[in-house]
Amino acid sequence: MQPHTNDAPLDGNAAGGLLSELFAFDVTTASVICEGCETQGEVAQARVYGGTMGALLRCAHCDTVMIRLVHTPHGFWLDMRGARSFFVKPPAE
Amino acid sequence: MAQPPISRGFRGRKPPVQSDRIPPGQHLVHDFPVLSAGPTPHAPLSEWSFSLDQGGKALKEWSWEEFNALPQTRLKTDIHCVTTWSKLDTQWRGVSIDDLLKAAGLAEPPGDFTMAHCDGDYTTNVPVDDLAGGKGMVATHFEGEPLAPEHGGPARLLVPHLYFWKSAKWIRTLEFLDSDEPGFWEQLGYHIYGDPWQEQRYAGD
Repeated sequence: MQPHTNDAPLDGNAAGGLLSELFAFDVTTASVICEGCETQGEVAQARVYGGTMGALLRCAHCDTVMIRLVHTPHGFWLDMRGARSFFVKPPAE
Repeated sequence: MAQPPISRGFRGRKPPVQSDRIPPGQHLVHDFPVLSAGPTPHAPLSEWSFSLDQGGKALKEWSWEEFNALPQTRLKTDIHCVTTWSKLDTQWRGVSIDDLLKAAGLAEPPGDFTMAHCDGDYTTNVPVDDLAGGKGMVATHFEGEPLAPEHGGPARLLVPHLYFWKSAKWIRTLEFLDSDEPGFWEQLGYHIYGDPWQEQRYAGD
């Protein structure tokens, strides 16, 4: 495993693979309301930090941690206390 | 201005040979990888402060200027990140937890556990026994230079005998607690203590 050597954040798409293992829909196409600033934005626009320790999705407007996801050898840990709600469009016919 | 006294501090046993200095599951690096839980803060030092807290109240608070006038401790040590890199013979300077307690007028630590609170809403928990007695410091310098922001500057906690996520970047408050509580990563499956020699990476290890 290569260490993360750049502290520049990735966008929310970077966490899409991990999140797809937990959700039945593509989370990156959903929008989320931030608990910190109440702004609604696409998950794909969130900023992802955490490097190889886990995926931390921070609000692009106020940096509140909306979603925290860690994949350990023992299983997944998911914390969404910073995400008030999600809006998911139905799949296109 | 007179320079603050430099304590010898952190005198340890003679370093073992290098192969004995890499904990299980780790590999040696010569660069200094950056791993952050959030954006790097760039607040001016005039707005920086550090405090020892208990029960939501500051027991003692220092400005940047006051903090740098405290006794300085130098430390040469190895560091071990849970993402499997280890770096040997890193050199730090800062204020030991022992000297912070003394400067705050505290004969004894006011709790058995601590929570480090940092810019960016990062937290991590460390038992007092792993900070006092010459085991931990708040570091402001790395390799003779002011600690770079991406590595936790202006000041980070340094607890080198635990995995490096415990050495919290951008520390602003050390809160004393009566019981151990999980911090940012510890709430998400990382080990509550994090001893690299026991390979305590995750809860349940």
